[in-house]
Amino acid sequence: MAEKSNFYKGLKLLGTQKEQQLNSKIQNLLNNRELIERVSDNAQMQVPRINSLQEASERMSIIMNYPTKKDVASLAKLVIQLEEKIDGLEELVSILVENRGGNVGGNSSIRNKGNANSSRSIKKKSRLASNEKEGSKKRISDFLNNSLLLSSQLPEFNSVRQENSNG
Amino acid sequence: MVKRKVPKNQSESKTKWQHLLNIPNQPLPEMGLTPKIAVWKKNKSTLWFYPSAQKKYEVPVFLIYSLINTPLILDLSPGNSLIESFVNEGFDVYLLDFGSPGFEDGDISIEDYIVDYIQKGVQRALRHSGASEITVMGFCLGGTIAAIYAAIADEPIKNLILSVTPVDFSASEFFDQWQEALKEGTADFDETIDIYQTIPASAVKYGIRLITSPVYISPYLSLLNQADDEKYVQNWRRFNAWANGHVPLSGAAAKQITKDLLIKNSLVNGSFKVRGKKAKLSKIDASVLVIASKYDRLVPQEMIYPVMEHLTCKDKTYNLLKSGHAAKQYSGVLPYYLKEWLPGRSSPIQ
Repeated sequence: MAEKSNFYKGLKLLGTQKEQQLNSKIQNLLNNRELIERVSDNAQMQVPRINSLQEASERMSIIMNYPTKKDVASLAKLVIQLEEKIDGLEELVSILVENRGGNVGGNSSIRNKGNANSSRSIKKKSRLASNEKEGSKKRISDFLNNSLLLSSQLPEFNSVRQENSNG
Repeated sequence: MVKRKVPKNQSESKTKWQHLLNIPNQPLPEMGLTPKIAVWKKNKSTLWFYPSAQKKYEVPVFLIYSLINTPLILDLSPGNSLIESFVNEGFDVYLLDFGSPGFEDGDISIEDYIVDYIQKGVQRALRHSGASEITVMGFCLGGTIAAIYAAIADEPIKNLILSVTPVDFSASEFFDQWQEALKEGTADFDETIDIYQTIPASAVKYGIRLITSPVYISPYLSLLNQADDEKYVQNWRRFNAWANGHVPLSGAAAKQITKDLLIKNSLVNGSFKVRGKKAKLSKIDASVLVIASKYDRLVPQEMIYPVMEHLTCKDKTYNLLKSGHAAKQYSGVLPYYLKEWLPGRSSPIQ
């Protein structure tokens, strides 16, 4: 039994040695400046072709009425923007609640439980806390301004505004 | 009828082969079983919270894994999980999982990952935990971005742990001819990356394989050698699933890694900027533990050690382990290099 086990151990050792030798050879062979430059040139030659194919696909999508990968990506980016907006709101709410002495989903870390032994941490904490206090007002107004700015760019908003001004 | 006796050696050999050939028919063992809760999500990223069994330390641990692989390796299985070890020792753990970027994420750069994901994630973890300070631990490329983040952070980072983290990219010995061509601009893949927006997972996998081991048979020989050991096979399969589970890398991040880190070596020379803010390693004032592995072919210690020369903080420790890049075993308790270093710096609860 030990003999067999030794066989498999030996096989593993031999295989590992041969693998290392082969790997070094392959890596030395591939570590060639001309090779990487040729790969790069070939890749760059493909770029205009792929670009024109993608443009053709975009043009076809208008006629065929199908979404392209870029359309899906644009949609995904809008969702991400929306998610960021909600994230920002969530953060502002938690800051507002904390400023009023409340507590949201955990607790402000940065404020209450200081480590008395660490002056470095206190320095950072106070810097962060004051940054947050100063920043919170600015962030609220920036956020509202940005939201209004974004909303004003929406066609629905413009039409509602027009209707309001007309009415 | 004469019954022929099968020699013992032959039967053992047959069993090994039978086990080996039967492996693909068996379901993949479960991974990532340490209890966790999602506390924040952004785009494809998730901030996971692993509550400690019995909280013993005020300072939670925030884990940042590499951008090119999943963090499953940190929680492979019960009894072989770094996260489980932290949790058992009384640390609350947060893990930022970047997920798998898609075509629409091609413009997420390293800077974006740092400010929009890591910094926000740390703020969320601090708020969620109620802690006043945090330990940030980064692995591989995740360690590089953790170090950059620590250099510009306003958040109270008490400890920074960099595990097999490349810092000095000029020390990379592999494919020096390719590096030269990239540095001189005679090889350029920017336009190709722009078309695909991300580096596909398969390209990431074979790129890493090219650097480490283009011929990859020794893991299978190890499996054959212990194919009749059920526990070994299960662990091997989990590790193998992780080792083959690369994720795409966003194009902007790939370009920034190549241009800023590889070509300019900007983290070491102090010129790496995060949204206009210089990320100098000398600005890190946390306690720092640097972990390197002696047999690491992907990130040799020549790429790691220079961080010690550029850190100016008083409390810094370098630990060289006798292991490879990822194949570390955890046995439900913290490995000695963390157990000796971290608890005393994590505000034990009296």
